Amino acid sequence: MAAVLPAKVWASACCGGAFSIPAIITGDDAGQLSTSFSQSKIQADVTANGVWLPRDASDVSQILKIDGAHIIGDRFQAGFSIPVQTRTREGAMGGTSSGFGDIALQGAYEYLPDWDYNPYRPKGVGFLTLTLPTGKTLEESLPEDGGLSARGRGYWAVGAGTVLTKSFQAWDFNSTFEVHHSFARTVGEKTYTPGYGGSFSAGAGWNTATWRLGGAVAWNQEEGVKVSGETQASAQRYATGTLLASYLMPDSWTAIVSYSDQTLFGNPTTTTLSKSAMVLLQKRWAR
Amino acid sequence: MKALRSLIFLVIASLIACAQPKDADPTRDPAYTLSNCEFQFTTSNVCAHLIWEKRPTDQENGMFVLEFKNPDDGQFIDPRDQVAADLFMPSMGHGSSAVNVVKLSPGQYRVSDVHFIMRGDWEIRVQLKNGSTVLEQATMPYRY
Repeated sequence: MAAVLPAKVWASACCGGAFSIPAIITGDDAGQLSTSFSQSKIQADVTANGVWLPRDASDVSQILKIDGAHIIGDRFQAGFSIPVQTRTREGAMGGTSSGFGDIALQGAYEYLPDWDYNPYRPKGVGFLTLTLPTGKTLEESLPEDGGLSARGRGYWAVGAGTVLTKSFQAWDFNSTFEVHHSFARTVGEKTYTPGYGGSFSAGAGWNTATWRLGGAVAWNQEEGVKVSGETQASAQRYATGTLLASYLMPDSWTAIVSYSDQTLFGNPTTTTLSKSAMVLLQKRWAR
Repeated sequence: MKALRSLIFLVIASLIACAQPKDADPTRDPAYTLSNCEFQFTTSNVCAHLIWEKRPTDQENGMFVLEFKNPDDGQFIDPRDQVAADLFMPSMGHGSSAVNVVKLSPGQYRVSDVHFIMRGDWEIRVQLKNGSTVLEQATMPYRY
């Protein structure tokens, strides 16, 4: 059960999607395909000096996502993540907008295999990601609908990271660390330079034959976006706490429900905080 | 005779008491100078003052009036250049939806469709433009 790590996409800040890591095969499977549906609601905006300002009007995003991964050879794998997002906002600039978010591609290599079931050494998978700016950016959507149709971060981005997993009796532990660089983009007369970002997550789970109950906390940091002719924006920081339950079904199917909350941990700055729920169905194929 | 003199005195006194200069502007702030105006355009030597007609909420767009005045005499003055405005969030590096600027009278402009896409510390920015070229810009912080 420890092998079931759903794709990670940390909730958006003010403006569309955030950096996404596709699902990675951390078990002994040849391939996996997941479809998930999540709904998140913005709770508050946080200023650069950490002041929380609650939202009055409802701002809800629903993301339907398909992601998959397959091995290429013995230790290499490739994967993808395709999100489709619907955002519904109430209030003065209210409405509904749907479309693609940012698509992500990934390649990974199992650099630390666990063939001998070492009691201490974790299994390690390193990965590279490429994010395509297929979602509309905030800058593009502002003149049309006040940002409602912003579904992507809007920058080409490359990332590198690692997933470490370890099982110990009925318990499993996992940790992900990644850094990424988003490339500058010109929209209209302005050039937006986002810079570097990174995240670290740590989680654990308790397993029975068919159930896994787990939790994780992920910390994210993004450099402020430099806009030509403007002062540099402040760095963005937030943490996401997640509780999840997985159920292993026959024929290598797995169902997962999870609840994520960005209002619980860390010292957020320059961001938007959401609470979200997700259901995920995953099919795996053995080697 | 004494009563007539008293009547003339009262009439003159009442006329003096009611007198007001015809060029006085009842909305003018006497302390309104170039050094303390809300939007200061030093090159153009113009001050602008913001008066909210309706502050924006999550449910409704806001609206305000910009009054441009000559800092030397406090009189309304039309800037030589085109007046524009936008909303910007420096900490996030993004703006908001476009506002609408309409001239009401010489020196007075109404800015409507004021909408902040999220809570936080914003800047209301007023520009003097020549076409798409910003000649001068002044900002005022605004917490939404």
